[in-house]
Amino acid sequence: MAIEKSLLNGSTTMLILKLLEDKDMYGYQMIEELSKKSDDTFALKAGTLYPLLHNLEQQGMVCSYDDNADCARVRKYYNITKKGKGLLADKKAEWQTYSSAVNRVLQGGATLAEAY
Amino acid sequence: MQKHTKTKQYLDAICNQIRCKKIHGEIYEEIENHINDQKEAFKSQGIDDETATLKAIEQMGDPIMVGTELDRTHRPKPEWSIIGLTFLLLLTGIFIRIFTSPQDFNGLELFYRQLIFTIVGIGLMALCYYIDFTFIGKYPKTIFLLLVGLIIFLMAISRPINGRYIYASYLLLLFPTSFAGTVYSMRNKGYPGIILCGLFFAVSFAISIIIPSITSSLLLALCCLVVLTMAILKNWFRVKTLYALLLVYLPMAVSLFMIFSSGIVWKRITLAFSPFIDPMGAGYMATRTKQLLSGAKFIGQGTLPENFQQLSPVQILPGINNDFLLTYIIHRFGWFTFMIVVALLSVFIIRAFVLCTKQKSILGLFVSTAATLTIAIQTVFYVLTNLGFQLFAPLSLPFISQSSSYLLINMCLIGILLSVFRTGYFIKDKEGSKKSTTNSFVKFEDGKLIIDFHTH
Repeated sequence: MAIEKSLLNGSTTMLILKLLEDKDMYGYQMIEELSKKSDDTFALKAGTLYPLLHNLEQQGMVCSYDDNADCARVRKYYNITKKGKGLLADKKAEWQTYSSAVNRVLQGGATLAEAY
Repeated sequence: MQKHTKTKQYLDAICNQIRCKKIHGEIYEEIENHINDQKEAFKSQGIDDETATLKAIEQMGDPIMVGTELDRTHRPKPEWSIIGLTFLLLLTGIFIRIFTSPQDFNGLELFYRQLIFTIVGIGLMALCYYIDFTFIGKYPKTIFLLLVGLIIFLMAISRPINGRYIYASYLLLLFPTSFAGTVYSMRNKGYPGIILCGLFFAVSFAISIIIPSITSSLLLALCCLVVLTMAILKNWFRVKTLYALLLVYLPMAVSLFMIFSSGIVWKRITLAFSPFIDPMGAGYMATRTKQLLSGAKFIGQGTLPENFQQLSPVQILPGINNDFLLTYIIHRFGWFTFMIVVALLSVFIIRAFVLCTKQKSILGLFVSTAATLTIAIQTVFYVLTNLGFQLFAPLSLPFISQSSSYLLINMCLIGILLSVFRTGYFIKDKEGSKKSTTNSFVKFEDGKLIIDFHTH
């Protein structure tokens, strides 16, 4: 199922940081992983990913290095920084508040109905 | 062939939107890699080459939008904190000049002089700011030879004043930054690279001894040592760190031992700690400095030493406009002025060092560290001498003291520093990534064709 774009945008940063928390990755790998982990729900466009990654790098949330670890091509790997982990924690908390609020509202009808 | 042009067109379309040309290569490479990965994935699903390429490009999204987004991120940003602090320090210098016009001298003339040199200095700073600092890493030998040539030329046409080639001595402060470029150019050159760096240093050091400016020699040695040590610790020469450090520090220890065993240094050190043992001779200046300071107040004019009541400070301590400006303002206005000036300079230096550590490119790191150290060491030496610890003669208090030509040199250094901080984030140390890409057994490096049978 494809999710509406605006909902995805705000949380993309969080998802990318979460991916990088597990291991260092290059751009293409992130898109693959994200799509695999979310059962193709999140089909992130590369055109969205790279500006976002470069932005995060400039803010010091991630840093990059070149490596040719698993193939002949040199790839630009990204690694999450301490600052980035902090941001991830903030984003997670923010997301949890948001999603539980949404859930409460959605279930709110049900609880009200039960009350009657 | 068509797949290539399509990909190329797409990448060009992205890069056309990005104004900072320095980042183009890196973005080109990263996104090209991505398209290739995507293409391979499509091909493995049984799609033919050309359709796979087209689909991969389509997956990427609108190149104009991607390019515009990336341009926003990679716009060169002037480092306003350093620019602001520089101007604040220059203003402080001019401000102090307005308030300190000793009666014995023409204060107004000194003020105009400072004003003119400040304006010329700002011009030089702007010039160095807009010249791309990477030329320091590209032509280190040319820069070094030009600098040496210029110094020798100045020594040839000018007469030494008090036994020193004054005009040539100012340029010595550019050697550390030039040295940073030299070290950068010795990447992967092994022990010979380190020895070559040592030779470059030795030449500049010898010149500073001939001039002679012992303070500059010391400054030069400290800056070069720090940059070289940093390079070794970053494995810049691709050698064993311990051996490389020994190669640098052993000769240094030996020369230090020889200098100390001569005895002259000990005499100077003793004198620096207790100038009162020779108050009318070698310890004269330090004794007077300490006497002036002992009568200083926190705010307001201090008292003059007992035997000098009839004299003005400038008669007691020559050089209050240039070499001992801090001592003078402490005496004249109180310690709080000293605190303001030192606080401003400290903030400037600490901020600059913090920015140095954030540099991604090694060239940016070396160059900015060398330039910042040059300014920091001048400041420390100046403050120490002005507080009465006179192991070495002061050079200048950056941006503040009336030492016109030093001001110009320091402004050039600030220009270079700002240039690093503006675009340093984008410079990639190309050679490295290229080297690791060449996995083929035939390489072409430094004009040599290398056939390596060990690679597979």
